[in-house]
Amino acid sequence: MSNKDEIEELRKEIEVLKEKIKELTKLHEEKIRYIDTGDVENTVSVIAESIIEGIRGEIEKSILIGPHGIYISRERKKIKTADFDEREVAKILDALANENRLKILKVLSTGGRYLKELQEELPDISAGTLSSHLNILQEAGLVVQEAIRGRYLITILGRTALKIVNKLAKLAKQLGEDHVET
Amino acid sequence: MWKLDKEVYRLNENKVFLDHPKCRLTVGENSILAKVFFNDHHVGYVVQGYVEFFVDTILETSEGAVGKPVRKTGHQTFIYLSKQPPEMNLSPTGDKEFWAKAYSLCEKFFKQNEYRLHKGHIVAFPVGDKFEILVLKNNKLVYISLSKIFVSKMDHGVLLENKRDARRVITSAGEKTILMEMKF
Repeated sequence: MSNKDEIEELRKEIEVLKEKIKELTKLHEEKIRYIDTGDVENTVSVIAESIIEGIRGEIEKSILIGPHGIYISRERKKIKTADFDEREVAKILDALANENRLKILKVLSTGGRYLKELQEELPDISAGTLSSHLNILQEAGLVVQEAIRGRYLITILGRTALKIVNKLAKLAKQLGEDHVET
Repeated sequence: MWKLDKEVYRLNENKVFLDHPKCRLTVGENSILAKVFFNDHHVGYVVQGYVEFFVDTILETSEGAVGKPVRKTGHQTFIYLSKQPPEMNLSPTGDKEFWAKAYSLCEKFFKQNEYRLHKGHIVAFPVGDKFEILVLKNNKLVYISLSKIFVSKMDHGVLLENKRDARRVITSAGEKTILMEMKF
């Protein structure tokens, strides 16, 4: 084929593509018009069509045609290797693994407290035990005590730990309901 | 221009130098001290003796508290400056060794820091060639040490801490908290 012929063929292809673009633009405008007119039925079908198109696109993406036929690929998310200091985390988890200490954190999450206030709000915990629990929470960095006024405050770490415990509790409840033995 | 009084005194009582919701400084009986003058005004002391010094460099943020209190207890030497230094029950004692130490400390402090008379209080503890400094004026508090800077005014505050592998900056203004960590 001569260069002249090749150019001619390319021109034709361009013309075909132009026509296709026109058709698609028209179709797109029509879809927009459906939405603008407030025609609920058409609007729903347009949305449904786009969703189906999207799903189809995703399916097509996951089907690859290789030299040995068709196979389905599924992208697996790489699980990041856990990167933490076991001793540090164990210290935090040890501090959290106690009913009374969780009660103390719950109270402190609503604001700083003096020892006396904590004793009043948590009468089930004896004064000596309360101090001992507070020491453990302080060592784990979940609580800090002011040097001057003496109030106990929940730290950023403490508040975050409490949020995680809260999520864990919700999850445990859900899973527990799913796995109730009859 | 600063001057150190030639006389060295012994403290005959326990004395509270600072008593504030965020910091407290008490000096024990029998501590020794020398008077510091600035432009011929008595502006403070160089003190050596049993000291209890606490600063709550804790920032209360909407996300929880951050920082730990500073606690210094035991035998310490420090400089205390104020426009109106506390009157104390003192008796003269001739301790030339302490006077030389106090003079050297003042020389270093006034060389490193520009001092102006103001109504607040300044406490400076020597740490190597530098000082850990507390400035307290009404409800404003600034504490500068080798590992942290803490600034507090009412419920606003900034804490800058040098950690093992990062520098952490926390600013808190009422309900707004910003935490930044820059890795070294």
